[in-house]
Amino acid sequence: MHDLLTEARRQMHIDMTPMIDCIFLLMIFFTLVVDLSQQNLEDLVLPAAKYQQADDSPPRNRPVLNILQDGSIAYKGSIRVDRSRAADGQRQLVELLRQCKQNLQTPDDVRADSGAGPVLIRADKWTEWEHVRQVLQGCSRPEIGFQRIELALSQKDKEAAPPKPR
Amino acid sequence: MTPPIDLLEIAKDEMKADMTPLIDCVFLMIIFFVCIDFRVLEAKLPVYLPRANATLNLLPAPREQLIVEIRCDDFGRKIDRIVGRQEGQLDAATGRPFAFILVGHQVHYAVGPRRCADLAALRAELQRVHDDPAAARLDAASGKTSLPPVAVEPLAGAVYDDVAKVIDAVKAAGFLEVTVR
Repeated sequence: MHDLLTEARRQMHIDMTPMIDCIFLLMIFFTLVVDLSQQNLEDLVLPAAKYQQADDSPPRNRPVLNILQDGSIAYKGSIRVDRSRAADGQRQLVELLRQCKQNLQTPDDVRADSGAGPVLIRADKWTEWEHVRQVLQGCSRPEIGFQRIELALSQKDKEAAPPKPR
Repeated sequence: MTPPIDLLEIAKDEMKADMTPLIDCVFLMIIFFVCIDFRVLEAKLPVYLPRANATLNLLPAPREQLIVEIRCDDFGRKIDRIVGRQEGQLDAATGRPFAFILVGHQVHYAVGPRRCADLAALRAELQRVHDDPAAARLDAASGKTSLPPVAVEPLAGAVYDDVAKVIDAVKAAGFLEVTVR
């Protein structure tokens, strides 16, 4: 009797290994997906503000310009405007904005009444406003035509207490 | 010898699936989602620019504005955001310049002709203007009275954080139209 029960249990054994493999595959999948979705976002500390709009459903093909602390602009993971080369900076900015506008592929992205846009501008909280102003002025150029700009903010101040000076 | 069907049924009823691996996987996923750093864009502030205009004039028609200036008293000293890194050098891992924070960065504000030494004074002044009945302006086109639009004008030395705080203060006071120069 016991042998028969033991035999039956052996036949009914459920192997969990494939399920565990599926779990690990899902984890790898979500890791890669999250990394790709954050490609446009540089590691910046955004300023905190209380009165702003949530960015829950961003428009498709919205250009994201990341302004670093030295005024350089990163777009899609690479530095496109290098402020260390002051002579070329303005030309690079205009070229970048032109490319952003060309990347807006469908007519829905370019509305006749309000021009191209929006463009999301992300800048570090300690970035000088002059760098942001130059980008805004570039966006308002007639040949560029971005009228709707969105400034990225944070709901919480993520900057910890400043490190003690050396 | 094949056991009788009745015994097999009894064995199935007594069979218990070991849930330990599933629980381990659940804990692994919990750890994964807790530790992962989601750089999610939290919020945005829309700003509208005029069409076909090379200058940054944000208002479509001449209207009396309430100008809030940000004047920098002391730009401050740059301190490495991660102590030990030096300004001007590039991070080998990311190719980006090392980040810094400003220590000792001081600004004051001017609401029209009135000087505000700090953010609290700015908020108080903006609230006073908002509550002042004389501040309302008659819009000739619509015939309605409304508060004047606020134009934030950061001067040399102001940083993005200063502008964000001023816009926050302006909106907290109840002004609806805010532009940035």
